[in-house]
Amino acid sequence: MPSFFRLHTAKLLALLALANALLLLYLGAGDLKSLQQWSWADISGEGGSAVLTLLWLCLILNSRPAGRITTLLTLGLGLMFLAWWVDTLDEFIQLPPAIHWDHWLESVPMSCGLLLLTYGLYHWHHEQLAISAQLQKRERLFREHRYFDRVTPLSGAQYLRRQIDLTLQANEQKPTSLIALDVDDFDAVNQHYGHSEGDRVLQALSQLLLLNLRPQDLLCRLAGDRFVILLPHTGEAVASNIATELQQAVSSFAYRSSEQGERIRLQVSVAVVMAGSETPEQLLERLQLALCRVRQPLALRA
Amino acid sequence: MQWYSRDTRLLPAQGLPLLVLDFCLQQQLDCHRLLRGTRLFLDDVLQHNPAVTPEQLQRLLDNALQLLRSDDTPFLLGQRLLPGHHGSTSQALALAPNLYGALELLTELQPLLTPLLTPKFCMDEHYGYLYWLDSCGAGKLESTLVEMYTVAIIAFSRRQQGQHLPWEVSFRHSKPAHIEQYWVHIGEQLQFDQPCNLLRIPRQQLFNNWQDSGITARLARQQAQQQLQQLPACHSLLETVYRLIMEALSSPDQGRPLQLEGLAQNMGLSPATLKRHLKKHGTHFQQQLDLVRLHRALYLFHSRRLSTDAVARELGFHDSAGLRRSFKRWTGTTPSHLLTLWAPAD
Repeated sequence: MPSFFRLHTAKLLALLALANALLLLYLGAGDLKSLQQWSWADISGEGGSAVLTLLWLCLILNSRPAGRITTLLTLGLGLMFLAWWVDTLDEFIQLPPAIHWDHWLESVPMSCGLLLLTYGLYHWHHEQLAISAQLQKRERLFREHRYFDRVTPLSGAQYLRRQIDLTLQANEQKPTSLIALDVDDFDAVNQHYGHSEGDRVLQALSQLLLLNLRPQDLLCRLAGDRFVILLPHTGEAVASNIATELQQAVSSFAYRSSEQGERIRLQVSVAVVMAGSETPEQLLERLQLALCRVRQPLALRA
Repeated sequence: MQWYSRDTRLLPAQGLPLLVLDFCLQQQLDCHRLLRGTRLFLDDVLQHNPAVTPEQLQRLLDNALQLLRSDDTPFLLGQRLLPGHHGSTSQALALAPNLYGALELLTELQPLLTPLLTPKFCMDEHYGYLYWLDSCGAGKLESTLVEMYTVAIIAFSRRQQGQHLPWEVSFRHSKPAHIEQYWVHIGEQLQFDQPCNLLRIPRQQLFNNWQDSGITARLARQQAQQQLQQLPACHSLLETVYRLIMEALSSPDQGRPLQLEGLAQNMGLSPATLKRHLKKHGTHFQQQLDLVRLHRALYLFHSRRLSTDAVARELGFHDSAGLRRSFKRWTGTTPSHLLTLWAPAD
């Protein structure tokens, strides 16, 4: 993960300099309180708030690039931190009764900070919506976005096992089918166009498959170039139909390589099994064997 | 020195280490974290091509696995390993006339191609067998290395042949949770909890013609051999130990198996030094002796079809009961049970 922290060193340094200046101002104007005058409840409450605000600020700075919204959030949280900091200083330093600016120093930054933070959060919400819309349309590499993978319907083998287990338990009376789908000679794509192009092919392929599925179906990438589709409430005949349609969709899919725009022709082998009374592991194993029978040329079978 | 150990500066960094580095950087890994503890620097690797020890390479692989935290890492790496980018070594391998020639080259050029595991190749009338020996004390990395190199062999042979080959693969480790990676990248003929890490293929598949072997292939092989000669050693310490014990065991006049003292003498070391070397590689003499005796027993049982009595005599046991007991200790099963698992398919 890249760290955004180094983009914001100036902001943090400015904040620390301000906090330091306030400390010096207080020390110059007032006298230190004796230990008996310390109120531990106030110190922990106000000091703790200051520390937590600073922590939030650091978390936000570390997860965001620089920009308008980051500046708003920084200003808001920074002012809140300064207000609490002044509040905390109060507990250690006694200012002469003639001085009144300390009340202003506590309340003005706090209210300004809260307003700025609210304004920043409002814009952050809009930014999130824009980012989500953009992500939906953008084609991305599979490998680099493992975190998105958990959000999109496409997950790995472990998730699939759990889903099969749940589906089988929920629909004991109704049939459940699985389709396995394996790209023929995918290694050749990797060899010919490079592994990153291969990843893009898988990414495009998964979107194509998703488009061709019903809302209740679940598509997972088992491993490598092999996908498995879980079809609840579906018998073997319907599943075979869907599998054939997927096969046709893939063979007429005109994927073009990103370098030369060359058409990469894809073919998939499919296998279908219907769940009997077996564990997800046994079911997957049966699916695997069915796929092997389809894929391997007869000449090589012992 | 005739052998390399964990800390011998053996491999050019721009060979296998760079391949691993390249793969990881393509996966967006942070270079500093990847190289942590390896005493390697990317600029140094690119500019000066320093010699890297097997230990450094292992550390690099270990870092990569920790950082990527993905089941498919060894499989994706394995696909890229052979023939690799090692100049004439890779060229020679890519020009091999058939699988037999490729496997022969692989064992010959092992330090350059598979420095961390040693492939051993043998044949009987039905099958060709390729099994893996630990070269440098792989420890907990061993099963990952076996996955990686097994995929490398299978992917390479498939590419050369233009279709899937009927490999049958045995692993020493138990069936892993990520079995789907094995299905996709290795195949369906898998066995786990076996006495050794082994690939086997019907004998006739070894001689499918891939290409005609011309002068270019011969030249590449010569240059690869020169590349090999430039290394500090052509065999690992553990392989040397294995070979010497095996030679002593197979020679007919040997009444008793080799002892530590005799082995040390053969290697020009004092027994204490040899012990220390073995310890550094995470093993000891008895373990190595048992390993050789197990492999020899499997060969005699399976390929030579000898009886338990004859095998016991060959291996220097007093009687067949002693052999059976030892076999049970080495593998957790009996010879006859194993042989039914390994029976030829026909």
